[in-house]
Amino acid sequence: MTFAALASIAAVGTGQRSSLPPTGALSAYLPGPDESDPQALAYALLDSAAALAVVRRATPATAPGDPVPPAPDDSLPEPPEHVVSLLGPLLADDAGAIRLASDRAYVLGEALGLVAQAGMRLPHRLLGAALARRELRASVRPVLGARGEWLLAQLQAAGLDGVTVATAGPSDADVWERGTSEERLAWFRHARTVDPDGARAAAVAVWKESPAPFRTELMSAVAVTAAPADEAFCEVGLDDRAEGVRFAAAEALSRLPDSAYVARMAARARASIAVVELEPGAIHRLLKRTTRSLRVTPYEPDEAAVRDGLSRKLSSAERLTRLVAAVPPSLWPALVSATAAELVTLHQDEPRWELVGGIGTATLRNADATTANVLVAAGVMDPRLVPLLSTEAVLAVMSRVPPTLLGTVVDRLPWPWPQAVATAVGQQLVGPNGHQVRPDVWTLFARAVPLRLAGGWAQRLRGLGQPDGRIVRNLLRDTTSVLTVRALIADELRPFLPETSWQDTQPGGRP
Amino acid sequence: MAERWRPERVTALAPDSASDVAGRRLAIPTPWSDIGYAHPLLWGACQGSGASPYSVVVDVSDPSYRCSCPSRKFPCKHVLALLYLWAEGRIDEGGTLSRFAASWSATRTAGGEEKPPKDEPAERTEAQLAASAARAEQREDRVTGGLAELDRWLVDQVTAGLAHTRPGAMGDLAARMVDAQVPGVAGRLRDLNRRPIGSRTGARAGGAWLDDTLAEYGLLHLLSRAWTRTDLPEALRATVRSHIGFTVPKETVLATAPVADTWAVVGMRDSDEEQVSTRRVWLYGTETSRYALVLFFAQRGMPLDASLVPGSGVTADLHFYPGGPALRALVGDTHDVHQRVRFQVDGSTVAEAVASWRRVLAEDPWLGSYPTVIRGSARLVPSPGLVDEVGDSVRLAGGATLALLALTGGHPATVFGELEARGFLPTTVLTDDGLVVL
Repeated sequence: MTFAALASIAAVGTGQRSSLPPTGALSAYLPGPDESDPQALAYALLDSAAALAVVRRATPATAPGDPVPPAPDDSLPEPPEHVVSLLGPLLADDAGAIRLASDRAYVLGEALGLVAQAGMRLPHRLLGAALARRELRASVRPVLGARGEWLLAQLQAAGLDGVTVATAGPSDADVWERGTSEERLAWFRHARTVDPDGARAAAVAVWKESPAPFRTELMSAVAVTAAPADEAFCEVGLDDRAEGVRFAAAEALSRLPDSAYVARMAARARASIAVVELEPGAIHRLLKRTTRSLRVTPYEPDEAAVRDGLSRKLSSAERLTRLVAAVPPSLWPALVSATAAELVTLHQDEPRWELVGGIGTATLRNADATTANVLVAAGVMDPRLVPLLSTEAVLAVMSRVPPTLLGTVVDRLPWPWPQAVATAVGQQLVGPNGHQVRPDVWTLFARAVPLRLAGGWAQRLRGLGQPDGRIVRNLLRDTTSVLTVRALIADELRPFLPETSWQDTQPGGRP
Repeated sequence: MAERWRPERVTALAPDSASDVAGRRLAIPTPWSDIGYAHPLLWGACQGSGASPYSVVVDVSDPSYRCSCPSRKFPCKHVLALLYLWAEGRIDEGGTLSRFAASWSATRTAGGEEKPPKDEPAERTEAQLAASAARAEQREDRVTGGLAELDRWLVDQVTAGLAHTRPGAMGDLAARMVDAQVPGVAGRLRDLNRRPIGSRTGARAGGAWLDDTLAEYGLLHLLSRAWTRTDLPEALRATVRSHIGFTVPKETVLATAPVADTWAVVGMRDSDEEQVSTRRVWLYGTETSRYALVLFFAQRGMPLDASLVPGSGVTADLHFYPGGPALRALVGDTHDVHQRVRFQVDGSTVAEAVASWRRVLAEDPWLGSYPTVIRGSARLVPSPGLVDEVGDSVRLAGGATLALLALTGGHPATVFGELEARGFLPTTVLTDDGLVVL
């Protein structure tokens, strides 16, 4: 009798039975039950269970299979021991020196980037923890070394490291063919970054049978990475029966300054918006104001304009915003003999906010840093433009906003912040109005301060001692910890890093 | 300068995981000032939530420690943080001895905090001996009654069918076993009670739960039957008594013949049971090739003994408890302590390890696992396993499989661990530099 058979009997109960199956070789050691007594049957079952349990435990599970070639030797060096001692808890996501999990994730990403830049690899003893966290795969991969790559291959071959949305690549055709909607979209987004034409072809192949929400997501992914080769596909999208697809297609096309779509929208803009010369009056002369003025004619869309996204359901202001947003800022001088900045500053009876919003959107879509800087210099306060601004322009914006809105500005700055911006933000935080600054600016500051400044700021924050208020104390402690660990790691690796990378950029970037 | 601790030893010193986490959070230079080290004293000042920093001093040779913070944890997070900083090489020899450290050190030197000498067992009177014998007899009666109740309960369960097991039933019985002074059985029942009851439908109801429960019921029944037997060999009787929960006086164990050796710490596992924390430390005699199990107990929240951490070693006399196989031991006279111990050992093949496991199971069928060292190559494909030179394999179990793969890269390695029904649970790998903890 096997243990499984015994367990089946035990599950039902010996009260339901009149006998037990023979115990085979064990019967020589076990007394036979008096089968007329239900209790004796239970005793006999327990006797057999004890014997078979020992037999079962005496046979540890095996793992049959063919030999696996061992890992090749590593040629890259390990980081200094101090860096390893800091990386260990970060990889294990232990709440060691850094309290917040998001801070740990950021510092770890930055540290792994520095290790990769230094031409080093993770020590073998950290590989287990590094590979156990699949969300880290992209940043861990460059520092795996030969041993880590071997281990990863083992995990994948054993089916213990299934393809994830983060690791899905264009070669993982199975994900696109058989994955869930979410996995397929992840595959598509990733594929658009490495093989945009191939990804688009894959989308075209499944377009007709795909439901509207999926088509919308696909077109939205195309919009983010739109290139001239996508124009025909996006033009077809303008005729899609799903409104979301049409909207995303218009968004994609408006990012292509040489597309027919942009030409059509520019023509409509020229018909709707004009800059006219006014006869200068006494008041103009007195105030030295311009005599040019903006004339906006409400645009009544025809069928072609509706197809391009200027729906009749929109208000005239919404149509104007959408129309202006589709015109690259650089085209305005040719269209209306005025720059985009002039359009928003021309004397008007009342500000045309829809115009300002539309031009801001067009500036962003075209990543037009020149226009962004001019707009901000002209007084436009659109936080979306911050990533395009020069350091001087960012500082100017920061000086114009109250401390309570500082977070709105710096929240959009790419990392690491320029040295001058980091210094200005730090001074605001430790200044007399620091308590008015949004708490998340402390977190941003801790991560976005350039590495070469991190140690200095950690030192300065330590010098503040214990300010009043538990929240401020916690913010100060967390920020100081992050800056300290960043500086410790960077200082250790600095001798191995290219000087240019230390001075100008740092890995990690914004998550 | 004395040998620096390894971070694992600091971790082992923490009274609980919360203290350890808090300690490691403070183990950065940020809050620290006036730190220094002059063997054996380590000191520093840690800025806490108070106006003035807490003064911390540690004697790393003892170890003993003192912190001016009001924490009831012992050692507190400040002590642990300072030790982590030192263990990670961030504190070098030097620094000006703080007044706090100097004062504490002077007090200790003057004998102010010296540990009281261990009490010699007082000679007992006739009356006390008689009372003690009566209590022992009374306990044996209670145990007999408790185990009889246990066996009746087991029979009832098997008669009615395990599919009808009531959630929490084993917990109730465990409480009665505590009353009957059968703590060993109570602990096994509590372990069983913690396992989620699987689906109770179908012929193979509950799957693994059913198999494991029936196996444990069988072993408890065997224990109960063994207690009633008067013809057991002395060693087996001692084994039965130890599983029931009878303790052997420390002085009795220490009176046994010592086994002197340099013992390498090859594994450690902590567990919490009710109000007691238990630390199980596996030792391997580098000369005698014997294994030993040393247990440490502490009230929950209090630190467990951290003198034996994996990778380290101790040259000491071990005294083994009665029973077979002789595994559990007490550390007697200690002659030397090694932060890292280097030795050579020919690891077993899988077949040899399994044969050893079977031999000890024959002596002690209730034993959960057995330490062993296997020479083999770890692999994951097609399933996690350790394969020896002749191609025999044992499944790798536990949480250290990935770490073993990473450390050995599939090359042959000498791996210490515990063998049990699930397979082999690796704990340490022997390298040229000594043991590496997984």
